[in-house]
Formats: sequence, structure tokens, C-alpha cells
Amino acid sequence: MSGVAALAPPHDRRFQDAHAERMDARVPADLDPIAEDAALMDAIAGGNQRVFAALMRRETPRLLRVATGLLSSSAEAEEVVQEGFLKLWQAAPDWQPRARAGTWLHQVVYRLAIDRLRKRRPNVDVENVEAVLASADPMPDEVSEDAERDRLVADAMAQLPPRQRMAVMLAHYQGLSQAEASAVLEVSEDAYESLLARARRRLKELVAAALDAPGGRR
Amino acid sequence: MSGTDTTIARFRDLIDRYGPAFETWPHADDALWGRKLVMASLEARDIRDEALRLDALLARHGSRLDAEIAPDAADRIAERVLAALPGRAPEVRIWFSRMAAGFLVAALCGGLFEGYQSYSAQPEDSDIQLVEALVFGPAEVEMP
Repeated sequence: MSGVAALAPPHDRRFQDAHAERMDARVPADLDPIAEDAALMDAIAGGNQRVFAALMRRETPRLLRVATGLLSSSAEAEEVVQEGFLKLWQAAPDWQPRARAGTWLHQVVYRLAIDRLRKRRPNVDVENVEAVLASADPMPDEVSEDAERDRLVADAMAQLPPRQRMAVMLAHYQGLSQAEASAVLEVSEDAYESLLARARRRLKELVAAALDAPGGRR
Repeated sequence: MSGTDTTIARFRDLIDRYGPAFETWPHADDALWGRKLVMASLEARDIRDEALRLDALLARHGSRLDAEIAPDAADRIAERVLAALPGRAPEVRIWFSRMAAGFLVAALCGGLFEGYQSYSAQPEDSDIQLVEALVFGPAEVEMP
């Protein structure tokens, strides 16, 4: 948050939110990020909805990105993020300053998304999925090479097990440290590195196979 | 497995773990070794280039995910969450105090009305005695 405040111009909404958070929660300027979030959580535990709203606006974009990446549905992603924030509000009175609020929220949103994927799976008709996807594909001439590659990566990501997909998103999109990312997945840093390595290897294989396939644009 | 194979396998593993940007590798000696290997080995360079291509593809995918997010999503979610808060203490207190005040006013009104009704429904003793005297005659009525 302090990084955002430092980079954003004063008229920017994020700057104003960050300022509101700090003023409302009376956060000293020299706190480390974990202690800073603990001060915000203390204000939220006291019922300060202004600070809570500012924190939600701060965290929503990247939580939505990761939830959309896992669920492939922006509507469901919004529901999951919303649920995550409600859990944060409930957790505020007992907050332990061991991690940033954002890391905690990533963990909760990940669990909620996995729960949804588990519930969704029995309804998926495995036999017909490929036929349905194929029928929805536009003709090769209709799409640009860039769009084709985008689709190809999206398909490859969708084929990764959710845990590997999450590891890739945490590493490439979320701006979390390795320690934070491993905390989100509740594994050691070494296990997280191994998971990420397996995911990247698998992605390269899937992308290469798709590019080499008939109609692929190698 | 030859020494070269082992070297390339180790390099591939490190690239898969930490990505193609050597400056982000956690151990400086590994990063230095990787840089030297890329300059010396065509195979190592290919592995690094393949990882760079994957990074670029993933960056595009990330932009696509961001494009799916509605610009007003953050505000909308914040509003919905605030409206759904289970422990909205100040509002709950106000609600309860308003409800209590309502009950109090209703009780007072009810009490006053009841009192008024009792008062107006209860005839004066002297009126009753006068009516009874007229109906039953003065001998039947115990006059004060």
C-alpha cells in the first residue's frame, strides 16, 4: 500500500484510499507492511468501514485476476472475492500480524475457488467437453496470430491442475514474494519452487504441442 | 548421463524454478553460473529463450485476465460487502435503540389509553346509586 501511495499521483483514487486508510487507522509512516496491515485490521476490528472499503479497493483487482484465472468466470470470481472480504471482516478481531492482509486474502480466495471447482467437477461432461470447445472455436482464418496464441495459452493454463495454475499466477501476476506465495499455497518455499517448476514445464509442453498440432501456428 | 547432460538438466531445472531473468534468481552464484552457461552453450540459450517466450505469452494472458475485470468491480464489490456485513455494530445499535424507543412510546401510549378507558368506563359511585334508587326505590339502595 505504501508503494502505491508513493507512486500514484495525489488525485488517484488509490492514493486517496491509501491516505484514508492511514489517516483513519492512525498508521505511523515507518511501519513495515505486516505491521501496517495489522494497524488497518485493528481499525477494521473497531468497525471502521472506511478503512475496510479502502482496503477492499486496494486488494480487489489482483484477487479478481487470480480468481478469474482459476474459475474462468468473472461473475463467480466476484462472488468468491466478496466472500473472502466478508471472512476478513469476521477475522479482524482476532487478527494476528503474521502476514499481510493481501496474502491472507489470496489464501482464502484460493480455497474458496478450489471448493467451487470441486463442486463444479461432477457436473462437467468429460466426454463432450472437447466437442463443445471445438464447435466454439472460430475458423483459423478468422483469428489473428496474437489472438490464437492468447487462446492457446488460456487453454494450456486451463489444463494445468488448479494448484499448478495458482503457482504460475502467483509467480507471474500477483507480485507476491516467494515466501508470501508459498504461504498462500500452505507449502514450504522449496515445495513452492518445485510446484512452479513442474507447472512451467507442463505449460511449455502444452504450448509446444498446440503450436505443432495441425492448425497450430508454429 | 554425461557431464554436459547433467549441467543442462540442472540449468533447465533452475530456469523452471526461477524463470529466465537471472537477476531474480535467489542465489547469486547460480545466476552467475547461468549467465556464463548461456554465453557458452547453444542448448542453454535455447532453454532460456523458450522460457522467455513462455513469460511473454503469460504476460499477454495476464493482460487478457485483467481485461475481463469490469472497471467498476472494486467499487461494486466494496459496496456489496459493506451492505452485507454481519456485525455492523453502529447500525445495529441504532436499530435496537430505535426499536426500544418505539416500544417505550407504544407502552406509554398504551398505558395512557388504558388509563383513560378505565377512567371513562368506570361510572361515578353516586351516579350508580342514583340509577339504582330510581329503578329499585330508595329503600333498596344503601345510601351513603
